[in-house]
Amino acid sequence: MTEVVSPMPGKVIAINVSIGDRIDEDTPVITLESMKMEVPVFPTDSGKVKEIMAVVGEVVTKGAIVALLE
Amino acid sequence: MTDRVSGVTWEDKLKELQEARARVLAQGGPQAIARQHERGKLTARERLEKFLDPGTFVEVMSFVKHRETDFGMAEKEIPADGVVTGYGKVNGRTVCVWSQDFTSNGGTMAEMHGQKVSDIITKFAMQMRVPQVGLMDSGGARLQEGMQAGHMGYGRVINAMVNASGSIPQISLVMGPCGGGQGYLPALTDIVVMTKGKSNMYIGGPAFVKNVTGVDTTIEELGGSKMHATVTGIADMEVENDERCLETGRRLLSYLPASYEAPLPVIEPQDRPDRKCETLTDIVPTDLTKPYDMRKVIKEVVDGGEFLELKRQYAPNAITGFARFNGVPVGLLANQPLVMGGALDVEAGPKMARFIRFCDAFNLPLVFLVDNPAYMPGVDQERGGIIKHGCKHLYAYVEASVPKISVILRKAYAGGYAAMACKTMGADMVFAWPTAVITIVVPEAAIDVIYPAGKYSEEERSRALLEYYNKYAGPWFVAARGYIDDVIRPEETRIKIIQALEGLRNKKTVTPPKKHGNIYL
Repeated sequence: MTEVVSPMPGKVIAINVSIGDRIDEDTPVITLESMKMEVPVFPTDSGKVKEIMAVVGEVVTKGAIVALLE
Repeated sequence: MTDRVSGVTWEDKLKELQEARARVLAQGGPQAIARQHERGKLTARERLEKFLDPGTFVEVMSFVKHRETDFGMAEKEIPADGVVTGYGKVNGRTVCVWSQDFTSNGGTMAEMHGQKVSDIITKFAMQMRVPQVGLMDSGGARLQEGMQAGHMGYGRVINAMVNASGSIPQISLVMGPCGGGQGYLPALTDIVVMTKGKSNMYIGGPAFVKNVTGVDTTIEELGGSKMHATVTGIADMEVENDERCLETGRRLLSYLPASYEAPLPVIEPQDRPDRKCETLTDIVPTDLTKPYDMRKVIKEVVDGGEFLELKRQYAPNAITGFARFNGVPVGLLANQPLVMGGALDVEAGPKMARFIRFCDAFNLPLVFLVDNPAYMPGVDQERGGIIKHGCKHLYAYVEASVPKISVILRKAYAGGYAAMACKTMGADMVFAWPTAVITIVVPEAAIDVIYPAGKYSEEERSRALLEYYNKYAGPWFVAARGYIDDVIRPEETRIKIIQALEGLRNKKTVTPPKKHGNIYL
Protein backbone atom coordinates (compact mmCIF):
# COMPACT_ATOMS: atom_id res chain seq x y z
CA MET A 1 0.00 0.00 0.00
CA THR A 2 1.41 3.39 -1.02
CA GLU A 3 0.11 6.62 0.43
CA VAL A 4 0.15 9.58 -1.92
CA VAL A 5 0.97 12.55 0.27
CA SER A 6 0.62 16.26 -0.34
CA PRO A 7 4.08 17.88 -0.23
CA MET A 8 2.70 21.29 0.75
CA PRO A 9 -0.52 23.05 1.74
CA GLY A 10 -2.73 24.06 -1.17
CA LYS A 11 -6.11 23.89 -2.88
CA VAL A 12 -7.00 20.78 -4.87
CA ILE A 13 -7.80 21.97 -8.41
CA ALA A 14 -7.81 18.67 -10.31
CA ILE A 15 -7.86 14.92 -9.83
CA ASN A 16 -6.03 13.32 -12.70
CA VAL A 17 -6.58 9.58 -12.09
CA SER A 18 -9.51 7.23 -11.55
CA ILE A 19 -9.88 4.31 -9.17
CA GLY A 20 -8.36 1.22 -10.73
CA ASP A 21 -5.83 3.12 -12.89
CA ARG A 22 -2.31 1.66 -13.00
CA ILE A 23 0.09 4.55 -12.46
CA ASP A 24 3.80 5.14 -11.84
CA GLU A 25 6.03 7.72 -10.12
CA ASP A 26 5.67 10.11 -13.06
CA THR A 27 1.87 10.25 -12.94
CA PRO A 28 0.51 13.42 -11.34
CA VAL A 29 -2.28 11.97 -9.16
CA ILE A 30 -3.81 15.31 -8.29
CA THR A 31 -2.96 18.96 -9.00
CA LEU A 32 -2.82 21.54 -6.25
CA GLU A 33 -2.82 25.28 -6.50
CA SER A 34 -0.26 26.70 -4.12
CA MET A 35 2.16 29.64 -4.18
CA LYS A 36 0.16 30.76 -7.28
CA MET A 37 1.43 27.68 -9.12
CA GLU A 38 -0.04 24.47 -10.40
CA VAL A 39 1.62 21.79 -8.31
CA PRO A 40 1.38 18.19 -9.52
CA VAL A 41 1.47 15.59 -6.74
CA PHE A 42 3.35 12.39 -7.64
CA PRO A 43 3.34 9.02 -5.86
CA THR A 44 6.61 7.65 -4.44
CA ASP A 45 5.92 4.25 -6.01
CA SER A 46 3.94 2.76 -8.87
CA GLY A 47 0.65 0.96 -8.19
CA LYS A 48 -3.08 0.72 -8.80
CA VAL A 49 -5.27 3.56 -7.52
CA LYS A 50 -7.35 2.16 -4.65
CA GLU A 51 -8.85 5.22 -3.08
CA ILE A 52 -8.90 8.99 -3.71
CA MET A 53 -9.36 11.16 -0.64
CA ALA A 54 -8.74 14.55 -2.27
CA VAL A 55 -11.77 16.61 -3.22
CA VAL A 56 -11.60 19.35 -5.83
CA GLY A 57 -11.94 22.77 -4.23
CA GLU A 58 -10.82 21.65 -0.78
CA VAL A 59 -7.63 22.75 0.92
CA VAL A 60 -5.16 20.08 2.00
CA THR A 61 -2.31 20.45 4.49
CA LYS A 62 1.29 19.33 4.08
CA GLY A 63 1.46 15.59 4.71
CA ALA A 64 -2.26 15.00 4.01
CA ILE A 65 -2.95 11.65 2.34
CA VAL A 66 -4.65 12.48 -0.95
CA ALA A 67 -4.90 8.95 -2.41
CA LEU A 68 -3.99 5.32 -1.75
CA LEU A 69 -2.34 2.94 -4.19
CA GLU A 70 -2.11 -0.84 -3.95
CA MET B 1 75.62 -14.57 2.73
CA THR B 2 75.17 -15.29 6.45
CA ASP B 3 74.54 -12.84 9.27
CA ARG B 4 77.50 -13.27 11.69
CA VAL B 5 75.47 -12.77 14.86
CA SER B 6 72.29 -14.78 14.29
CA GLY B 7 73.17 -16.85 11.33
CA VAL B 8 70.10 -15.53 9.50
CA THR B 9 70.31 -15.36 5.72
CA TRP B 10 68.81 -12.89 3.23
CA GLU B 11 66.53 -15.70 2.22
CA ASP B 12 65.21 -16.00 5.81
CA LYS B 13 64.66 -12.25 6.13
CA LEU B 14 62.83 -12.01 2.83
CA LYS B 15 60.72 -15.05 3.65
CA GLU B 16 59.76 -13.46 6.95
CA LEU B 17 58.67 -10.31 5.10
CA GLN B 18 56.78 -12.33 2.53
CA GLU B 19 54.90 -14.27 5.21
CA ALA B 20 54.05 -11.15 7.20
CA ARG B 21 52.79 -9.51 4.02
CA ALA B 22 50.74 -12.57 3.11
CA ARG B 23 49.05 -12.57 6.53
CA VAL B 24 48.04 -8.93 6.04
CA LEU B 25 46.87 -9.47 2.46
CA ALA B 26 44.79 -12.49 3.49
CA GLN B 27 42.43 -10.14 5.38
CA GLY B 28 40.02 -12.13 7.58
CA GLY B 29 40.66 -15.42 5.74
CA PRO B 30 38.73 -17.37 3.08
CA GLN B 31 35.63 -18.04 5.20
CA ALA B 32 35.12 -14.42 6.25
CA ILE B 33 35.77 -13.28 2.67
CA ALA B 34 33.18 -15.77 1.36
CA ARG B 35 30.65 -14.40 3.87
CA GLN B 36 31.44 -10.82 2.75
CA HIS B 37 30.77 -11.89 -0.88
CA GLU B 38 27.55 -13.67 0.13
CA ARG B 39 26.34 -10.40 1.59
CA GLY B 40 26.83 -8.89 -1.88
CA LYS B 41 29.83 -6.85 -0.77
CA LEU B 42 33.41 -6.64 -2.01
CA THR B 43 36.35 -6.89 0.39
CA ALA B 44 38.34 -3.86 1.50
CA ARG B 45 41.16 -4.70 -0.92
CA GLU B 46 38.88 -5.57 -3.86
CA ARG B 47 37.25 -2.18 -3.40
CA LEU B 48 40.59 -0.39 -3.51
CA GLU B 49 41.51 -2.27 -6.66
CA LYS B 50 38.32 -1.11 -8.37
CA PHE B 51 38.45 2.41 -6.99
CA LEU B 52 42.02 3.26 -7.93
CA ASP B 53 43.71 3.23 -11.34
CA PRO B 54 45.15 -0.29 -11.86
CA GLY B 55 48.47 -0.89 -10.15
CA THR B 56 48.66 2.53 -8.46
CA PHE B 57 47.85 1.56 -4.85
CA VAL B 58 50.68 2.12 -2.39
CA GLU B 59 49.89 0.67 1.03
CA VAL B 60 51.25 2.29 4.18
CA MET B 61 51.08 1.29 7.85
CA SER B 62 50.42 -2.29 6.72
CA PHE B 63 51.94 -3.94 9.79
CA VAL B 64 50.27 -1.91 12.51
CA LYS B 65 49.02 -4.15 15.33
CA HIS B 66 46.61 -3.56 18.17
CA ARG B 67 48.09 -3.71 21.67
CA GLU B 68 45.09 -4.87 23.70
CA THR B 69 45.77 -7.82 25.99
CA ASP B 70 42.53 -8.19 27.97
CA PHE B 71 39.31 -10.01 27.08
CA GLY B 72 41.07 -12.64 24.98
CA MET B 73 42.76 -10.11 22.69
CA ALA B 74 46.39 -10.96 23.53
CA GLU B 75 46.53 -13.81 21.03
CA LYS B 76 44.27 -12.26 18.47
CA GLU B 77 45.83 -11.06 15.22
CA ILE B 78 43.79 -8.59 13.18
CA PRO B 79 45.33 -8.04 9.71
CA ALA B 80 46.16 -4.35 9.19
CA ASP B 81 44.08 -3.82 12.35
CA GLY B 82 40.95 -3.93 10.19
CA VAL B 83 41.67 -0.98 7.92
CA VAL B 84 43.77 -0.84 4.76
CA THR B 85 45.44 2.56 4.34
CA GLY B 86 47.48 4.14 1.57
CA TYR B 87 47.36 6.27 -1.53
CA GLY B 88 46.92 5.79 -5.23
CA LYS B 89 45.54 7.46 -8.33
CA VAL B 90 42.08 8.19 -9.68
CA ASN B 91 42.17 9.15 -13.35
CA GLY B 92 45.83 9.92 -12.91
CA ARG B 93 45.38 12.16 -9.85
CA THR B 94 46.65 11.17 -6.40
CA VAL B 95 44.22 10.53 -3.52
CA CYS B 96 44.63 9.04 -0.05
CA VAL B 97 42.37 6.16 0.89
CA TRP B 98 41.38 4.10 3.88
CA SER B 99 39.28 1.01 3.43
CA GLN B 100 37.73 -0.72 6.42
CA ASP B 101 38.00 -4.50 6.32
CA PHE B 102 34.80 -6.03 7.64
CA THR B 103 36.31 -9.53 7.32
CA SER B 104 39.00 -8.69 9.88
CA ASN B 105 37.25 -8.47 13.21
CA GLY B 106 34.31 -6.60 11.65
CA GLY B 107 36.44 -3.63 10.61
CA THR B 108 35.92 -2.36 14.12
CA MET B 109 37.27 0.94 15.39
CA ALA B 110 40.00 0.67 17.98
CA GLU B 111 43.05 2.61 19.18
CA MET B 112 45.41 1.60 16.37
CA HIS B 113 42.67 1.35 13.72
CA GLY B 114 41.78 4.96 14.58
CA GLN B 115 45.41 6.02 14.54
CA LYS B 116 45.85 4.60 11.04
CA VAL B 117 42.78 6.45 9.76
CA SER B 118 43.72 9.74 11.39
CA ASP B 119 47.32 9.40 10.15
CA ILE B 120 46.26 8.76 6.56
CA ILE B 121 44.26 11.99 6.77
CA THR B 122 46.64 14.16 8.80
CA LYS B 123 50.08 12.88 7.94
CA PHE B 124 49.42 11.78 4.39
CA ALA B 125 46.47 13.52 2.66
CA MET B 126 46.99 16.85 4.42
CA GLN B 127 50.75 16.87 3.75
CA MET B 128 50.39 15.62 0.19
CA ARG B 129 47.57 18.17 -0.36
CA VAL B 130 45.23 15.61 -1.94
CA PRO B 131 41.66 14.43 -1.20
CA GLN B 132 41.01 11.68 1.34
CA VAL B 133 38.42 9.02 0.56
CA GLY B 134 37.07 6.65 3.23
CA LEU B 135 35.63 3.29 2.11
CA MET B 136 33.53 2.50 5.16
CA ASP B 137 32.30 -0.86 6.39
CA SER B 138 32.60 -1.23 10.13
CA GLY B 139 30.83 -3.02 12.95
CA GLY B 140 31.41 0.01 15.16
CA ALA B 141 33.62 0.25 18.25
CA ARG B 142 35.80 -2.76 19.17
CA LEU B 143 34.21 -3.30 22.54
CA GLN B 144 37.13 -5.29 23.95
CA GLU B 145 39.09 -2.06 23.79
CA GLY B 146 36.49 0.05 25.58
CA MET B 147 37.80 3.58 25.89
CA GLN B 148 40.61 3.08 23.39
CA ALA B 149 38.06 2.30 20.68
CA GLY B 150 35.55 5.00 21.36
CA HIS B 151 37.37 7.97 22.71
CA MET B 152 40.88 7.45 21.43
CA GLY B 153 40.06 5.89 18.05
CA TYR B 154 37.02 7.92 17.04
CA GLY B 155 38.40 11.01 18.80
CA ARG B 156 41.53 10.96 16.67
CA VAL B 157 39.58 10.43 13.44
CA ILE B 158 37.02 13.13 14.19
CA ASN B 159 39.82 15.53 15.06
CA ALA B 160 41.63 14.73 11.80
CA MET B 161 38.46 15.13 9.69
CA VAL B 162 37.52 18.46 11.23
CA ASN B 163 41.02 19.85 10.74
CA ALA B 164 41.05 18.66 7.14
CA SER B 165 37.58 20.11 6.47
CA GLY B 166 37.76 22.83 3.82
CA SER B 167 41.47 22.16 3.27
CA ILE B 168 41.19 18.98 1.20
CA PRO B 169 38.06 17.36 -0.25
CA GLN B 170 36.82 14.46 1.90
CA ILE B 171 34.52 11.79 0.47
CA SER B 172 32.80 8.90 2.24
CA LEU B 173 31.86 5.80 0.28
CA VAL B 174 29.67 3.90 2.72
CA MET B 175 29.36 0.24 1.72
CA GLY B 176 28.44 -1.40 4.98
CA PRO B 177 27.39 -0.61 8.52
CA CYS B 178 28.49 2.62 10.17
CA GLY B 179 27.11 2.38 13.68
CA GLY B 180 27.76 4.29 16.88
CA GLY B 181 30.68 6.73 16.71
CA GLN B 182 31.32 5.60 13.14
CA GLY B 183 27.88 6.97 12.24
CA TYR B 184 29.22 10.49 12.64
CA LEU B 185 32.25 10.03 10.39
CA PRO B 186 30.55 10.27 6.96
CA ALA B 187 28.63 13.37 8.04
CA LEU B 188 31.90 15.06 9.03
CA THR B 189 33.14 14.73 5.46
CA ASP B 190 31.96 16.63 2.38
CA ILE B 191 30.11 14.10 0.27
CA VAL B 192 28.51 10.78 1.27
CA VAL B 193 27.60 7.96 -1.13
CA MET B 194 25.71 4.96 0.28
CA THR B 195 24.99 1.54 -1.24
CA LYS B 196 21.30 0.71 -1.38
CA GLY B 197 20.09 -1.60 1.38
CA LYS B 198 23.62 -2.69 2.35
CA SER B 199 24.88 0.39 4.14
CA ASN B 200 23.62 2.32 7.11
CA MET B 201 24.52 5.07 9.56
CA TYR B 202 23.07 5.38 13.05
CA ILE B 203 24.28 6.30 16.51
CA GLY B 204 22.44 3.43 18.25
CA GLY B 205 21.30 0.14 16.66
CA PRO B 206 18.00 -1.70 17.25
CA ALA B 207 19.29 -3.69 20.27
CA PHE B 208 20.57 -0.56 21.96
CA VAL B 209 17.35 1.36 21.21
CA LYS B 210 15.29 -1.52 22.63
CA ASN B 211 17.50 -1.63 25.71
CA VAL B 212 17.34 2.05 26.57
CA THR B 213 13.87 3.02 25.34
CA GLY B 214 11.96 -0.23 24.95
CA VAL B 215 11.02 0.60 21.36
CA ASP B 216 11.27 -2.00 18.57
CA THR B 217 12.96 -0.68 15.44
CA THR B 218 14.90 -1.90 12.41
CA ILE B 219 18.30 -0.84 11.09
CA GLU B 220 16.69 0.33 7.82
CA GLU B 221 14.34 2.54 9.79
CA LEU B 222 17.07 3.90 12.04
CA GLY B 223 19.71 4.57 9.44
CA GLY B 224 19.24 2.75 6.13
CA SER B 225 20.44 4.27 2.86
CA LYS B 226 16.88 5.13 1.83
CA MET B 227 16.24 6.88 5.13
CA HIS B 228 19.37 9.01 4.76
CA ALA B 229 18.74 9.73 1.07
CA THR B 230 15.17 10.90 1.60
CA VAL B 231 14.70 11.95 5.25
CA THR B 232 17.97 13.35 6.65
CA GLY B 233 19.67 14.11 3.34
CA ILE B 234 23.04 13.03 4.79
CA ALA B 235 23.41 10.57 1.90
CA ASP B 236 24.24 12.68 -1.14
CA MET B 237 23.70 9.65 -3.33
CA GLU B 238 22.17 6.21 -2.93
CA VAL B 239 23.63 3.73 -5.44
CA GLU B 240 22.92 0.13 -6.43
CA ASN B 241 26.06 -1.68 -5.21
CA ASP B 242 29.77 -1.47 -4.34
CA GLU B 243 30.85 -1.16 -7.99
CA ARG B 244 28.51 1.79 -8.61
CA CYS B 245 29.59 3.38 -5.34
CA LEU B 246 33.29 3.25 -6.26
CA GLU B 247 32.61 4.50 -9.77
CA THR B 248 30.55 7.38 -8.32
CA GLY B 249 33.46 8.28 -6.03
CA ARG B 250 35.73 8.48 -9.09
CA ARG B 251 33.20 10.66 -10.91
CA LEU B 252 32.85 13.03 -7.95
CA LEU B 253 36.62 13.51 -7.74
CA SER B 254 36.74 14.46 -11.43
CA TYR B 255 34.99 17.75 -10.56
CA LEU B 256 37.13 18.60 -7.53
CA PRO B 257 40.54 20.20 -7.11
CA ALA B 258 43.15 18.31 -5.05
CA SER B 259 42.92 20.87 -2.26
CA TYR B 260 41.58 24.36 -1.63
CA GLU B 261 44.75 25.92 -3.08
CA ALA B 262 45.02 23.62 -6.11
CA PRO B 263 43.74 24.59 -9.58
CA LEU B 264 40.30 23.41 -10.71
CA PRO B 265 40.34 20.26 -12.85
CA VAL B 266 39.52 22.01 -16.13
CA ILE B 267 39.26 19.54 -19.00
CA GLU B 268 39.36 19.81 -22.76
CA PRO B 269 35.80 20.99 -23.61
CA GLN B 270 33.60 18.23 -25.02
CA ASP B 271 30.94 20.65 -26.17
CA ARG B 272 30.88 23.91 -28.18
CA PRO B 273 30.97 27.04 -26.00
CA ASP B 274 28.84 28.95 -28.52
CA ARG B 275 26.17 26.24 -28.78
CA LYS B 276 22.71 27.82 -28.81
CA CYS B 277 20.05 26.15 -26.67
CA GLU B 278 17.11 26.36 -29.05
CA THR B 279 14.84 23.95 -27.16
CA LEU B 280 14.69 25.96 -23.92
CA THR B 281 11.64 27.91 -25.10
CA ASP B 282 9.85 24.58 -25.70
CA ILE B 283 10.70 23.36 -22.18
CA VAL B 284 9.78 26.48 -20.20
CA PRO B 285 6.18 27.73 -20.46
CA THR B 286 5.56 31.49 -20.41
CA ASP B 287 2.48 30.89 -18.20
CA LEU B 288 3.91 31.34 -14.70
CA THR B 289 1.41 28.92 -13.15
CA LYS B 290 2.65 26.01 -15.27
CA PRO B 291 5.42 23.77 -13.93
CA TYR B 292 8.18 22.11 -16.00
CA ASP B 293 11.18 19.89 -15.33
CA MET B 294 14.25 22.04 -14.58
CA ARG B 295 16.48 18.99 -15.15
CA LYS B 296 15.70 19.28 -18.86
CA VAL B 297 16.97 22.88 -18.82
CA ILE B 298 20.14 21.83 -16.98
CA LYS B 299 20.84 19.00 -19.45
CA GLU B 300 20.45 21.44 -22.30
CA VAL B 301 22.83 24.14 -21.03
CA VAL B 302 25.75 22.21 -19.45
CA ASP B 303 28.63 20.56 -21.33
CA GLY B 304 27.42 17.36 -23.02
CA GLY B 305 24.27 17.24 -20.88
CA GLU B 306 26.32 15.81 -18.02
CA PHE B 307 25.12 16.64 -14.54
CA LEU B 308 26.11 14.84 -11.34
CA GLU B 309 23.28 15.54 -8.94
CA LEU B 310 23.59 15.44 -5.14
CA LYS B 311 20.74 14.88 -2.67
CA ARG B 312 18.36 14.14 -5.55
CA GLN B 313 15.76 12.57 -3.30
CA TYR B 314 16.09 15.10 -0.47
CA ALA B 315 14.32 18.47 -0.83
CA PRO B 316 13.73 17.76 -4.55
CA ASN B 317 12.21 21.25 -4.92
CA ALA B 318 15.83 22.44 -5.02
CA ILE B 319 18.48 20.92 -7.30
CA THR B 320 22.22 20.84 -6.51
CA GLY B 321 25.06 19.17 -8.38
CA PHE B 322 28.23 19.37 -10.44
CA ALA B 323 28.50 20.16 -14.12
CA ARG B 324 30.96 21.74 -16.55
CA PHE B 325 30.77 24.80 -18.77
CA ASN B 326 33.38 24.82 -21.53
CA GLY B 327 35.39 22.33 -19.48
CA VAL B 328 35.29 24.36 -16.24
CA PRO B 329 33.70 22.51 -13.30
CA VAL B 330 30.98 24.41 -11.41
CA GLY B 331 28.49 23.92 -8.63
CA LEU B 332 25.05 24.26 -10.18
CA LEU B 333 21.99 25.20 -8.11
CA ALA B 334 18.46 25.43 -9.47
CA ASN B 335 14.85 25.47 -8.44
CA GLN B 336 12.60 22.63 -9.55
CA PRO B 337 9.18 24.05 -10.52
CA LEU B 338 7.91 20.48 -10.91
CA VAL B 339 8.10 19.91 -7.15
CA MET B 340 6.19 22.23 -4.83
CA GLY B 341 6.26 24.84 -7.58
CA GLY B 342 9.96 25.19 -6.83
CA ALA B 343 9.16 26.97 -3.55
CA LEU B 344 12.00 26.89 -1.02
CA ASP B 345 11.40 25.37 2.42
CA VAL B 346 13.08 24.28 5.66
CA GLU B 347 14.87 21.46 3.87
CA ALA B 348 15.84 23.24 0.65
CA GLY B 349 17.55 26.10 2.56
CA PRO B 350 20.20 24.04 4.36
CA LYS B 351 20.60 21.81 1.26
CA MET B 352 21.56 24.82 -0.84
CA ALA B 353 23.61 26.44 1.93
CA ARG B 354 25.77 23.36 2.49
CA PHE B 355 26.37 22.92 -1.23
CA ILE B 356 27.29 26.60 -1.66
CA ARG B 357 29.78 26.39 1.23
CA PHE B 358 31.36 23.21 -0.13
CA CYS B 359 31.81 24.72 -3.60
CA ASP B 360 33.15 27.96 -2.13
CA ALA B 361 35.67 26.08 0.03
CA PHE B 362 37.11 24.44 -3.08
CA ASN B 363 36.78 27.37 -5.48
CA LEU B 364 34.07 25.93 -7.71
CA PRO B 365 32.16 28.82 -9.32
CA LEU B 366 28.42 28.84 -8.61
CA VAL B 367 25.79 28.92 -11.34
CA PHE B 368 22.16 29.51 -10.35
CA LEU B 369 19.14 28.78 -12.55
CA VAL B 370 16.34 30.65 -10.85
CA ASP B 371 12.60 30.03 -11.01
CA ASN B 372 10.95 30.00 -7.60
CA PRO B 373 7.95 31.61 -5.93
CA ALA B 374 10.01 32.44 -2.77
CA TYR B 375 10.33 30.67 0.54
CA MET B 376 7.15 28.90 1.68
CA PRO B 377 5.11 30.76 4.27
CA GLY B 378 2.73 28.93 6.62
CA VAL B 379 2.49 27.60 10.15
CA ASP B 380 4.40 24.35 9.58
CA GLN B 381 7.26 26.16 7.85
CA GLU B 382 7.53 28.92 10.46
CA ARG B 383 7.38 26.41 13.32
CA GLY B 384 9.90 24.27 11.47
CA GLY B 385 12.30 27.20 11.62
CA ILE B 386 12.12 28.60 8.11
CA ILE B 387 13.85 31.74 9.40
CA LYS B 388 16.90 29.95 10.75
CA HIS B 389 17.05 27.53 7.82
CA GLY B 390 16.51 30.26 5.22
CA CYS B 391 19.20 32.26 7.04
CA LYS B 392 21.76 29.55 6.31
CA HIS B 393 21.07 29.89 2.60
CA LEU B 394 21.29 33.71 2.71
CA TYR B 395 24.45 33.60 4.82
CA ALA B 396 26.21 31.04 2.65
CA TYR B 397 25.31 32.96 -0.51
CA VAL B 398 26.84 36.20 0.74
CA GLU B 399 29.84 34.50 2.32
CA ALA B 400 30.83 32.65 -0.86
CA SER B 401 33.68 34.47 -2.58
CA VAL B 402 33.69 32.36 -5.75
CA PRO B 403 32.06 33.74 -8.93
CA LYS B 404 28.27 33.78 -8.52
CA ILE B 405 26.40 33.75 -11.82
CA SER B 406 22.61 33.69 -12.09
CA VAL B 407 20.08 33.26 -14.83
CA ILE B 408 16.52 34.16 -13.92
CA LEU B 409 14.21 32.10 -16.12
CA ARG B 410 10.87 33.18 -14.73
CA LYS B 411 10.16 33.83 -11.06
CA ALA B 412 12.59 35.28 -8.55
CA TYR B 413 10.55 36.26 -5.53
CA ALA B 414 11.64 37.57 -2.13
CA GLY B 415 14.15 35.27 -0.35
CA GLY B 416 14.29 33.10 -3.43
CA TYR B 417 15.66 36.11 -5.32
CA ALA B 418 17.87 37.32 -2.47
CA ALA B 419 19.76 34.07 -2.03
CA MET B 420 20.02 33.15 -5.69
CA ALA B 421 20.38 36.19 -7.93
CA CYS B 422 20.58 39.43 -5.95
CA LYS B 423 23.30 41.96 -6.78
CA THR B 424 22.97 43.76 -3.45
CA MET B 425 23.60 40.39 -1.77
CA GLY B 426 26.76 39.87 -3.80
CA ALA B 427 25.76 38.28 -7.11
CA ASP B 428 28.47 38.90 -9.69
CA MET B 429 26.58 38.43 -12.93
CA VAL B 430 22.81 38.26 -13.29
CA PHE B 431 21.02 37.51 -16.55
CA ALA B 432 17.28 37.46 -16.99
CA TRP B 433 15.07 35.99 -19.65
CA PRO B 434 12.34 38.34 -20.93
CA THR B 435 9.91 36.11 -18.98
CA ALA B 436 11.56 37.01 -15.65
CA VAL B 437 9.38 38.30 -12.83
CA ILE B 438 11.35 39.78 -9.95
CA THR B 439 9.37 40.95 -6.95
CA ILE B 440 9.45 41.10 -3.19
CA VAL B 441 6.21 39.14 -2.94
CA VAL B 442 3.75 37.39 -5.26
CA PRO B 443 2.08 40.39 -7.00
CA GLU B 444 -1.40 39.06 -6.09
CA ALA B 445 -0.45 39.16 -2.40
CA ALA B 446 0.91 42.69 -2.73
CA ILE B 447 -2.36 43.90 -4.22
CA ASP B 448 -4.34 42.18 -1.42
CA VAL B 449 -2.47 44.38 1.06
CA ILE B 450 -2.38 47.64 -0.92
CA TYR B 451 -5.97 47.29 -2.25
CA PRO B 452 -7.82 44.96 0.15
CA ALA B 453 -10.86 43.11 -1.22
CA GLY B 454 -14.11 44.67 0.03
CA LYS B 455 -12.56 48.11 0.30
CA TYR B 456 -11.82 48.25 -3.42
CA SER B 457 -13.89 46.87 -6.28
CA GLU B 458 -12.72 43.82 -8.17
CA GLU B 459 -12.28 46.03 -11.20
CA GLU B 460 -9.97 48.40 -9.31
CA ARG B 461 -8.09 45.46 -7.88
CA SER B 462 -7.47 43.78 -11.22
CA ARG B 463 -6.39 47.09 -12.72
CA ALA B 464 -3.92 47.59 -9.86
CA LEU B 465 -2.68 44.02 -10.25
CA LEU B 466 -2.04 44.58 -13.93
CA GLU B 467 -0.26 47.83 -13.12
CA TYR B 468 1.88 46.07 -10.51
CA TYR B 469 2.72 43.30 -12.94
CA ASN B 470 3.58 45.85 -15.61
CA LYS B 471 5.90 47.75 -13.29
CA TYR B 472 7.63 45.02 -11.30
CA ALA B 473 6.91 41.85 -13.19
CA GLY B 474 9.28 41.46 -16.03
CA PRO B 475 12.99 42.14 -15.80
CA TRP B 476 12.80 45.77 -16.86
CA PHE B 477 12.42 47.60 -13.55
CA VAL B 478 15.35 45.75 -11.98
CA ALA B 479 17.39 45.99 -15.18
CA ALA B 480 16.84 49.75 -15.26
CA ARG B 481 18.31 50.04 -11.76
CA GLY B 482 21.39 48.11 -12.83
CA TYR B 483 20.70 44.94 -10.88
CA ILE B 484 20.44 42.78 -13.96
CA ASP B 485 23.44 42.77 -16.26
CA ASP B 486 21.52 41.79 -19.33
CA VAL B 487 18.17 40.55 -20.53
CA ILE B 488 18.94 37.66 -22.83
CA ARG B 489 17.26 35.31 -25.28
CA PRO B 490 16.85 31.88 -23.66
CA GLU B 491 18.95 30.23 -26.37
CA GLU B 492 21.95 32.38 -25.30
CA THR B 493 21.89 31.02 -21.72
CA ARG B 494 24.87 28.70 -22.16
CA ILE B 495 26.97 31.25 -24.01
CA LYS B 496 26.31 33.94 -21.39
CA ILE B 497 27.24 31.61 -18.50
CA ILE B 498 30.50 30.62 -20.22
CA GLN B 499 31.41 34.26 -20.94
CA ALA B 500 30.68 35.20 -17.32
CA LEU B 501 32.84 32.33 -16.03
CA GLU B 502 35.70 33.46 -18.24
CA GLY B 503 35.26 37.08 -17.20
CA LEU B 504 35.22 36.23 -13.51
CA ARG B 505 38.10 33.74 -13.62
CA ASN B 506 40.40 35.97 -11.55
CA LYS B 507 37.74 37.28 -9.18
CA LYS B 508 39.17 38.48 -5.86
CA THR B 509 37.28 39.58 -2.79
CA VAL B 510 38.41 40.84 0.59
CA THR B 511 36.93 39.29 3.73
CA PRO B 512 37.11 41.52 6.80
CA PRO B 513 39.52 40.07 9.39
CA LYS B 514 37.81 37.75 11.87
CA LYS B 515 38.21 34.33 13.47
CA HIS B 516 35.15 32.93 11.75
CA GLY B 517 31.61 34.06 11.03
CA ASN B 518 28.58 32.80 12.91
CA ILE B 519 26.28 31.06 10.45
CA TYR B 520 23.09 29.71 12.06
CA LEU B 521 23.57 25.99 12.62
